[in-house]
Parts: sequence; structure tokens; C-alpha cells
Amino acid sequence: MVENNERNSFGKVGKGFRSFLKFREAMLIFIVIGFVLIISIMSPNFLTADNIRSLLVGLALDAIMVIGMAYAIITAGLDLSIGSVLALSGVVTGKLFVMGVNIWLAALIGIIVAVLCGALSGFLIGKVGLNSFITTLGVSGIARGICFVITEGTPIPLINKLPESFKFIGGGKLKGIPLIVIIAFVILIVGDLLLRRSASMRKIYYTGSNEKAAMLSGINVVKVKFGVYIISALLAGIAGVLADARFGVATPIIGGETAMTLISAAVIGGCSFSGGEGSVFGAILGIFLLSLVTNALILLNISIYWQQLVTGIILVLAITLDHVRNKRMEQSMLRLRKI
Amino acid sequence: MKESPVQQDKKRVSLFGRGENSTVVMMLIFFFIAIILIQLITSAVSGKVVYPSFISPVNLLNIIMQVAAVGIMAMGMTVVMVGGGIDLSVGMLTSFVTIFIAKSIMHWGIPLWGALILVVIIAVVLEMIMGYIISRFSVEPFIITLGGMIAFRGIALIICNSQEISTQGALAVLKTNLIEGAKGPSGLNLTFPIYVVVFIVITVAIWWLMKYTKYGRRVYAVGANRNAAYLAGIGVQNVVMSTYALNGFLVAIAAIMLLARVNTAIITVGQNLEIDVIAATVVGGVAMSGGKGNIWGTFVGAILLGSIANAMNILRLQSEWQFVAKGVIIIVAVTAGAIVQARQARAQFMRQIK
Repeated sequence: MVENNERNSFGKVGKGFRSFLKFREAMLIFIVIGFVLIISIMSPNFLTADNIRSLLVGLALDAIMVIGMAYAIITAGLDLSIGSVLALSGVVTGKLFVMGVNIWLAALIGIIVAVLCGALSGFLIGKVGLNSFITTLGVSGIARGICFVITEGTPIPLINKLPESFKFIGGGKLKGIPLIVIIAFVILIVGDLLLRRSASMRKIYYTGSNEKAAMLSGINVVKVKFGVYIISALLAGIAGVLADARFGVATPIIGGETAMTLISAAVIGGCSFSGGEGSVFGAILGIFLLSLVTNALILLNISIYWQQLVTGIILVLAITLDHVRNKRMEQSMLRLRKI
Repeated sequence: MKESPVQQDKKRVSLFGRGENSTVVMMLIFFFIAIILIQLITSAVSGKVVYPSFISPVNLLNIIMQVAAVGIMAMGMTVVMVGGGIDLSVGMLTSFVTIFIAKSIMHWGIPLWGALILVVIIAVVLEMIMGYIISRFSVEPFIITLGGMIAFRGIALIICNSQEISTQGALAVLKTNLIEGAKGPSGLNLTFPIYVVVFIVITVAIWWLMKYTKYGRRVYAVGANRNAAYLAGIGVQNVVMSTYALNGFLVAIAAIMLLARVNTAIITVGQNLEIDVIAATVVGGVAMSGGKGNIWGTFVGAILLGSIANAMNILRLQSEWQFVAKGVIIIVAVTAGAIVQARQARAQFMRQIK
């Protein structure tokens, strides 16, 4: 809602480039481009096909899951269970496959189990009205616990038994582009377009920016929240199956830091915890920036330990800058109205 | 904080709604009874009935020893959350503090007391920086402290170079057993180390601070309604910043206690500790939206969560089940809290329209 107003009012004032600057994601695009330029000057290995391919493969799974996180944050919620649900779907798939179930059926069941987790959080947050942070924290504990119980703490190796067709999803290439990147790309486009264009998905913004107003204007807020957490778990489930296909092993400890990475990315990309703001595109740019930082530090031979510090500082800086910029925009909007 | 209408509600609402901490206390009691019953039944099945080891004095002291560090941190988290914030960085700050102390006394040649004072100051300053950004720019505390968490982990890893550092018992004084020689009914030695005393003293001190001082009431006011607090003449920004500073102080103390207990500084000491701390706080009835909650609720919440892992060991269950149990308990506690709140609100509403 707020976003639309901003765009309209500035669309009248600025033209072309200037109105582009007012896009929320504009600053981030500049940062990413600037970053790419700097690294490619400093390290000749950056702009090579191999490096870019490994960069994209590395962020593909996170990119799929960040859609769910962005949706959750836009409804003024949060989904901390994504990492554990990712592990659960992978582990369930792997375990069923080892027990002799067809891999595609196993994957389907894995994704269904993930969706059930999402339904539990969705029910508790939407229907009962609990706080999303603590609910998804609890669901996360449950999912992670079941992972450990199923696997007894050890990874399940699958690589030797997996059929070629399933392995192809994780490791195959189409004209030099890894299939997993193409899958992620398609899901991202769909996720972004739906959020921008589909009427039912726009309800996510209304619910997030003012829940009471949304309810009074006839939006079924419970259903929206329920749907958001199911989508988020569904994407995590898909990512879990893809992780099985990519690594050839189902690990119970995968995704321990995922939720935090996704939250950082979504917030760097312009999602606000107060809800009603943000976009899938921004969140992906956030994931991209975080991966670039990691990649750059590796290429520049900087100790891996500095990476954490730099990531943390970038996060704090990005948020503070964005906040200051937003405030300035609000002020200039006020000035416009007075004129 | 509770106004008179709520006081009157006590009579009207069912057993579950009595008092602020009733939910969590009931859950603790139910949990203990359940474990004791399971132990009695299983021992009866196997032939002879024995005293359930879960509530033996040795084990009860054990639980409180395991809870002490998390408990101290939960006190700090309660203050921050009552003030309307949250702090995700406490786990990694703990790792940083333990590594800093171990490094400075073992490798940098700083005397122990110097290192302790220095580290407390550093922890307070680090938290104050975050508190400053959060209060002055009014940015989401969640994300700033998440950034802090990542950055602290980086600093800790750079200092220790990813190696563990043994303190070789330099902090053993904190482990001094205050009831040396006392024996439990089963003949095992009872231990009641100093750090448990520190935990209890801090709990009482923070309880007094939050309940009976002007400062504590200001924190509640800021958490409940920032704008109203501002209009009432409270320096909102400084109050918010001070809650983080206080939290930093308590985290440093907790980390010292933890280091005394485990004797080794390693990055994983504080990993995911913030999750346990927040869980204890929220199970104890502190609202994520601020302005609600109290210290004794958090105390009971910490004990409840701490006894889960212990009970799993006593029952010889796979330790993996504790994740599931913790998850279920968090959800049940929060749901019960929400239901009680809804009932109270409804009762109040019914009385108003009568």
C-alpha cells in the first residue's frame, strides 16, 4: 500500500532515471553492481564462468526459500522453521528411499510432511493468533527433533542408489546452466510476479500493513496467514528434496543457519518487520549480496573468520541506511503535500 | 502494572488464569508429576518400586546448576523484552566473552581480575552500541541484534582462530562447593557451587529492580506504550538503551559462570544459546510485544526448559527427543498463555457491558 503511494507521487515528479532511483530496490542494485565491479577489478577469477556458476548453484536453494521468508515478513510475521523444515523434508525423502520407496513418491511425501509443518505454524499463528517468532521457533524444534530421531543423528548416504534422472535435477546442466539454477529462477519469477500481479497475493500486503483494516474490508486474514506459512513450508520442502538431489546425502543438521541468512537477506532487500513492505525481488538481491560477500572474501584470500564480521556490519549498515533514507523520503513526501 | 479490573478478574477466571505466572508454574508441576509417574510405573513394572531419581536432591541441584547460566541471561532478556526489544546476539556474545577471558589470561598475560573487569566493560559497550542504534534510529531490534550476533561470532573467531582454549581451572573459585561434605539420601555428594548463588542473587536483584524501582516501572511503561511513555516525560531512548546495557552486563556475568563450569572457551559454547534464552523468557510469560512479563515467570520458565533435557537422560530416552519436547512445550506454553489472556479480556469485556 505504502509502497504504491510512494511510487505514484514520485512518478509525477521525477522522470526516467530519477523515478528509477526512487524504487526501493534501486540502491541495492547499485550496491550489487558496484560490488561486482570492485571484485572483478581486484580478482581476475571473479568473472569466470566457473565462479559464477558455483556462485549461482550455491545460492539457488536459499533463493527458493527466501520467497517464503519474504511473504512471511510482509505479513508482519516471521518463519524461523524454514531451515528445520528443509532438513525434515530431505531426511524423510532420504529415509523412505533407503527403505525401498520410489524416489519420486518419497520426494512427494517429504514435501507433504513439510507442508504439514507449515500448516501447524499457519494454524497457530493465523487461527489461534500466537506470535510468529515463538511459534515457528517451537515448530522448528519439533521438525529438527524428528530429523534427529529418524536419522539417529547420522547422515543418510543416497548417492550410490539414486536413479540418474533424480541426480540430474541436482547436478545436471542444460546448455551449461545448472538445472537447479533454472528451477530456482523459474520459482523466483513465479513468486515475484504472483506477489506483484495476483489479486489474492496482494492481500499479503494488506494483511501486513494493517491487519484490522484488512479484516474489516473483507479479507480473510486467517486464510492469508495460513496460506503464507504453507507456501513457505512448501518451498522449504522443495528445497529439501533438491538438496538431497544435489548433495546425494540426507543430513539432519542441514539448514541450521538458513533462517537467519534468509531473514538478513529479506530485510536487506527492503522487507520491514512491521509488515506491508518488501518484495521478492529485493529479497533475492539481498541473498545475492550476501553470497557475493562470501565469494569475494574467498577469492581475495581473506580469512574465513572475517567473513562473519563483514556480513554482520553490512547487515547493520544496510538497515540503518535504508531507515535513514526512508525517513528522508517520508519528509520529502510531506513537503510535496504541503506544496 | 496490573490495574484493579484485572485484580477482580482473579475470582472469575478459571483455575488456569490465576495470577500472572500460573500457566508456567502449572506446566512445571505437570511436567514434574508426569516424569515422576513414568519413573514410578516403569520401576513398578520391573519389580520393585524405587524412589524416583528425578526428584532426588542430587538431581534437583543438578538441574539448577545446568540452568544457572541460561537463567542469568534470561533475566537480562526479560528486561530487554519488557522494554519492547529483543536481543539475538546474547549467544555469540557469550562465546566472545568466554574466548576473550581465556585468551587474555592464558596468552596475553592479563591478570584474572583485570580480564574479568575488562570483559564486562567490553560486553556492556558492545550492547550499548546496539542499544544506541536501536533507540536513536528506531530500527527493528531483531535485525540489528542479528547483525550483532554475526559480527560477534566473527570477532570471537578472529580472536581464537577457531581453536579451543582451556583455562586450566583459573576460575575454579566460582565452582567452590558451599555445602562440602553434605550427602544426599542415596549417598552421593551434594554440590551447591557459588555460581548457583550468583544466579539466585541476580534473580532477586533484577526482580527488585523491575518491580520496586522507578527505573523498572519506566521499562514497563516504555514497553507497553512508547508514545505514552514519551508524553509522560520518560526518556524513552535512554531507557531502551539502558536495557541493552544491563543485558550486556548480565550476559558477561553468565558467560563467566559458564566458563567456570566448562573450563574451556570454544566458539560453540554460545551457539543457539539465544534460542534457549528467548524460549525460557517467552515460556515464562514475557510478551514479545513488550510491557508484559515478570522475573519469576522467567525463572520458572528457565527451570522448566532446563529440566527437559535432564528428564530425557533420567528416562534413558534418545537425547534427540528433547528438541521435539522443547518445541512442544514452547507451543503449549504460548498457546495456554494466549488462551488465558483471551479469556481475561473477554471476562473484562462482559463485565463492562453488564
